[in-house]
Amino acid sequence: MGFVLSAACLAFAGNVSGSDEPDHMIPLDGFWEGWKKDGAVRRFGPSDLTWHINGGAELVLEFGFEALFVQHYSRGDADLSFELYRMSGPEASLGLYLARGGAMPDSGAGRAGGAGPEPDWITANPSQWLARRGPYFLTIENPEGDRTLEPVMEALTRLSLGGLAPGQPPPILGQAALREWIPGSVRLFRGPVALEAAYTFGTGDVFGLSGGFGVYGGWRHPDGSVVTRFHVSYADETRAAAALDSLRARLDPSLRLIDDFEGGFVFSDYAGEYGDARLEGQSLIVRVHLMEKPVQTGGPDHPEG
Amino acid sequence: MHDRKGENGSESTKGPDRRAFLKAAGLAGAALVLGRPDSLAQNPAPERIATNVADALKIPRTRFSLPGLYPGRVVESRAADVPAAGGMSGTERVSMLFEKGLEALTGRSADASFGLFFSPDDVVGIKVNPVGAGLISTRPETVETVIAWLARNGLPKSNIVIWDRFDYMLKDAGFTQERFPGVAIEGLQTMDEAAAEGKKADHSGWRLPDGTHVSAGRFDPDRFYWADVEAEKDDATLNQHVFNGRHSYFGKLVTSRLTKIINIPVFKNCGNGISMATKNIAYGSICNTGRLHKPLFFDVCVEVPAFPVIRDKLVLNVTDGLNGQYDGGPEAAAAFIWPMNTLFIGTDPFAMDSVCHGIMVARRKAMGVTVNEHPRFTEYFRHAERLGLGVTDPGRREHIRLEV
Repeated sequence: MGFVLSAACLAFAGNVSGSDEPDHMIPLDGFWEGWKKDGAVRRFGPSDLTWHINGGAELVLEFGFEALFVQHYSRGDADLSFELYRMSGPEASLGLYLARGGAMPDSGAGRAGGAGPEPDWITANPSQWLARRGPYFLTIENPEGDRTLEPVMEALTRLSLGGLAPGQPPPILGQAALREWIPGSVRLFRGPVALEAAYTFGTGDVFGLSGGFGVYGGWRHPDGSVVTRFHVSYADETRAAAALDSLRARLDPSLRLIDDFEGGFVFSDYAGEYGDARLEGQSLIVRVHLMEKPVQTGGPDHPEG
Repeated sequence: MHDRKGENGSESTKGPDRRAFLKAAGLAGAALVLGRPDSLAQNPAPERIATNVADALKIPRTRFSLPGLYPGRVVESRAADVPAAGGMSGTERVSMLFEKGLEALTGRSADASFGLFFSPDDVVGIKVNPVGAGLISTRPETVETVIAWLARNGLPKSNIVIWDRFDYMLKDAGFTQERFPGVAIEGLQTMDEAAAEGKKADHSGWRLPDGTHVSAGRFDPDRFYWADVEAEKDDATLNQHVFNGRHSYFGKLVTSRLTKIINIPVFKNCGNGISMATKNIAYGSICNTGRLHKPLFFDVCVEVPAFPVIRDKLVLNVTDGLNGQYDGGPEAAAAFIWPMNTLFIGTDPFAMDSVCHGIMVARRKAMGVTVNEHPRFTEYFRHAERLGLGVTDPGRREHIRLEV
């Protein structure tokens, strides 16, 4: 499905002006034979997002939420729900896309932060399509899972996001070098709501993100073993070192510092497992769920110590 | 197949009988009141934000009080061929899952079990979860199955109320008068979406001339959960939550009209936790919940059901696991939804949630999702044990696996 938003398909985007104004990203009546808007578009902002998202809005807000546009479409008994999120930037939309189950695009160059335009980010499920481009995240729901509606869902996706020019891949993808991450496990975090879902390091902004993003997910070592890895890149090595100090100082009471050294430390957790935090240039790398105490330097994940 | 095993994999002895449980619960309650650690807890209780849960604990229990007639007993009734999605024809198979599960719970036939929980003059509320409509909401055929059982055994349909906190979500999830003729379908509160979205300056759709919410009268001023956390003092908060102080009032539907409650949540995650039986009933019975999510999310799941309006009326829980969602919740995320073909049945919602939490963690791990197993995510199960509301210790609860 990676072709859906490609330039070749823009010819079909008859009612999209090319502007990124959301009004022009909400397909009109007749976008597909017999399909019409069902009711007026509803707009939600940060102060009233919880009206629409009954539980779970905190994560959306944490990633950087600006507005949500909800439109229903119907033809006879069939109906589709269209929800277009305008987030604060491409990483914010990526964070939400991954959290909702969006898959990496087939094109490997883009996801690894290579040169060239951003690939299409679309995940098609018979009952729900997810897509993102630039700061926008789109979800189209077909609760009955009627497969005959998939072309209609594709058209909605194309007409909404296809008018946006492809940008560059979100910078964080290049920083985190995602090649070794386990497919489907990668998530972004920007604050405690997303981070707490993965691991409890401590309270507050333990990674010193200051509004920036980090990545976590399953990471495969050369020997085949898998650990959970957190990666945050900072503006420079000084800030990365400050973040390491902050993390060490704020460690949750359930974690015990057992080895402290220049550029990193090792800890044990409530489950008797180990973790470590180390600086790599201007990045902070943290691993958890290690079955054995890691050595102070070296190892397959830290060949340079 | 009827596989009755303890959580540790060994053949379980019978779960704690009710008399033994009540004795233990009484000791636990005493320990709580006296402020000393009790023997049921793995760890001492952490410091909590002040609430009025102690008031609830003073009120004498009834024979139906949580954890109900079967403390710690959870039946996992599973079939391999229940339609995974959109299968309205699956009602018959869902019915079989429910009835066989109920039989395993009570040791009696489904129809004979009716009289254990209900009499024909009861007014029964069915609390559903309509969030994620169609994808991961409570399925109408599960509710139809329960209603058919109630009606077949003499409960008038006019004595049944399908309810959620917000009225507008029920229709989207398939709970309409057309589908459920003769049954009441109600939200605890109404709302003015246009005003909330800033589309109009006229707030008369939700605010009365005296400044109160139009739904304020639908909540009981004498029955409330108090927590030392105040809500935001803006119109949007008041519009959505009816009140914005430190009180969360129970809906009058729950306090005055219903005499029994059946809780039918869905099997789904909520971040790293779950949003199932206890979350569904706790947050769906009161107003002014927005203030509670961040500081007291799990405590609310325990302490609201501790009040007699829930504790003594909630007699049956059926967690709808026809589909399950292991990540992306509580919003619907189709990529993480899979057909479980399972109903979980029990009177003890904390035992049910603790069993389902374990299944959820296993599923998340199997699917490569990073799982945070910090004790804080399961502390509320121990809190429920301390309050005498449930049996969640894996060594003491009874998990019955049933294949239909």
